[in-house]
Amino acid sequence: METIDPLPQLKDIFDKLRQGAYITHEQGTLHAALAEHYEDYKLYFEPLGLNLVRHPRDFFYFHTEAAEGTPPAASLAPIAVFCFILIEAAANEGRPVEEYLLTERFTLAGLPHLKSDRYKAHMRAVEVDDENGLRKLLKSMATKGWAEYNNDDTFRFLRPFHRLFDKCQEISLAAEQESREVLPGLEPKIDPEMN
Amino acid sequence: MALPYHEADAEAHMQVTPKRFFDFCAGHVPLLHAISQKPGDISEAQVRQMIRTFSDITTEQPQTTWERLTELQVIVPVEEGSSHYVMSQPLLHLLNFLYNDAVPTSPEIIQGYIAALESARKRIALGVEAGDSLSVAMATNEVDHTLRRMQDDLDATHRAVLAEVARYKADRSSVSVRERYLRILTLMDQYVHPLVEIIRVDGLLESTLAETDMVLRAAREQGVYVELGMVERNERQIRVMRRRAIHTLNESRKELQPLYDVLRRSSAIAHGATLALGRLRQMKLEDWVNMYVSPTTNARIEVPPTDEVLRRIIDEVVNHPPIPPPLLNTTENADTPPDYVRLLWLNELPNLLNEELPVKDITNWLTSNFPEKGTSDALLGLSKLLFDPKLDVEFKGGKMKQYRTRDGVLEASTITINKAKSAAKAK
Repeated sequence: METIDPLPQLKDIFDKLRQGAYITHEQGTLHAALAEHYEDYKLYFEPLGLNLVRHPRDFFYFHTEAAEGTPPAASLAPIAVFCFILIEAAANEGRPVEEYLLTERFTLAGLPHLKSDRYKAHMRAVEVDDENGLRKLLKSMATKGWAEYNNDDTFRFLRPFHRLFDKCQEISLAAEQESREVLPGLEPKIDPEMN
Repeated sequence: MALPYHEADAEAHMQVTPKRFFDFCAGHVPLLHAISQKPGDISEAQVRQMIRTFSDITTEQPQTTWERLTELQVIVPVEEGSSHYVMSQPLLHLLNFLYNDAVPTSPEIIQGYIAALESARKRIALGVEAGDSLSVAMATNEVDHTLRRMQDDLDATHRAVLAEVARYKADRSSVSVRERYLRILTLMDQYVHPLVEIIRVDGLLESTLAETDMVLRAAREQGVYVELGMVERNERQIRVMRRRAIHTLNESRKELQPLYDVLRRSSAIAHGATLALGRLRQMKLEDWVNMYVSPTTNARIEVPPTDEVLRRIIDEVVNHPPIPPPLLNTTENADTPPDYVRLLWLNELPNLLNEELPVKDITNWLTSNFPEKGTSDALLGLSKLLFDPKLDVEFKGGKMKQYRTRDGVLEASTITINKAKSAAKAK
């Protein structure tokens, strides 16, 4: 009788993903196993209603149908505001956003979040108003696989941050489409050959 | 005695000797470059300020520098008596050339050149028709100038693109992503892209060049214009223009495209983040999170299979539509199936033939013994006999004969059939 080899590190992979976390290169063997047997894992999880997604930037997560309908956890709002501010500040400084945010190592003291009244107001709206609050936030991002946090208050972002970039593009595109609908005829000509 | 303006102007022109002019320029390169970089006109006060900033005031008094600038016509007033100045155009061109600075050429300018080429082409055609060598000569000369200027302008566009790309790469911090994006976008969308449209193989330029080429050939072949050198030069230039114009623009596009893509993405990301932040205080936090955060985050999964899967399975069971059992045809028919009858006939055929062997014309035997069989049955029967291992078949060739069946006619040459030798021996 033919026996099926068990999928490597299945329990560890499942435990990590079911927490809502990402598996990235930083997870070493877990990532390697998923990368090598992605289709097998995907087929394994599918009947359980768990959609294993491999992002084009090579990290993995569960996208469940329930997750779309369920409101995101309250802790996610501060994370989102934190990230949006960082993106905006980087762009205003003329930095190439993706390259900068995913390659730089940041310090808590150097963050722009508590340095301008506008940003402070945004952070207050999600109940973060001091450095301790920011630190707590970063630690929570590290748990979810968004960032790597060190005890000396330095951190760097990990690949799952790309999902936020994707979301920002989606917001921008939706806004542009909305304005085009309001102002017909202003659509820029795009030559497919040029892109 | 005070001279009228135009006379004074003429005198000033005469005083500008190349040596004095270039000596002054050589000693004031930073100042000249600074003036050339100022967009639009500049006031006298601004020029004086620039003199103090960029000139060595220990070797030359600022007032002297100012006087030289105007006297040598490095700067000229925008209009008579005005205190606003611009750098004189020839010097600006020279500086642009020296600093490899260039202004991109707008598609409108290139279209203007194409219109000029078209006009010259018409005059050459008319001149050739009328045998008017003078107008052909003038128009041919114009073609030469226009082509040269067009190529220069396209080269300038390429240089402007290269300069912008270099500026982008060298200066990474002073300008916001949006502004840089807009600069690259403008170059791409306002200059390079429309120019490609004009210059592409099926574009406006190509057809004008082709037509101009044709009239030049006509001028040469019909001997209207005796100075063949010019005609040939124009023809050469047209060939070069075809090749270089598209190449130059493609090169520009190649330089811009990666930046364009990266900046477009960066700009969209920044735009999205700003929009989301802008709405934060206008919406209820819960709505804001639903709109701008999900589905970037993953919900924790408590126990698989998920509720959704269980719900779907239960739904499928509850809503499973009953499928009726398959119906079997249980009624009996007294008729023997025709296929069965045919099978019996085919199986019996070799035995029937065996009694009459040898048969000189098997097709004839078959159609005359079974006239009630249709063409398809006759062919089946024939195949059955031809491939029977107990029979020897011989194709006689010769004239084609026709054999009537119930519903048609078979056409074949004679086929003779005998008992197979091995079968005969065995018997």
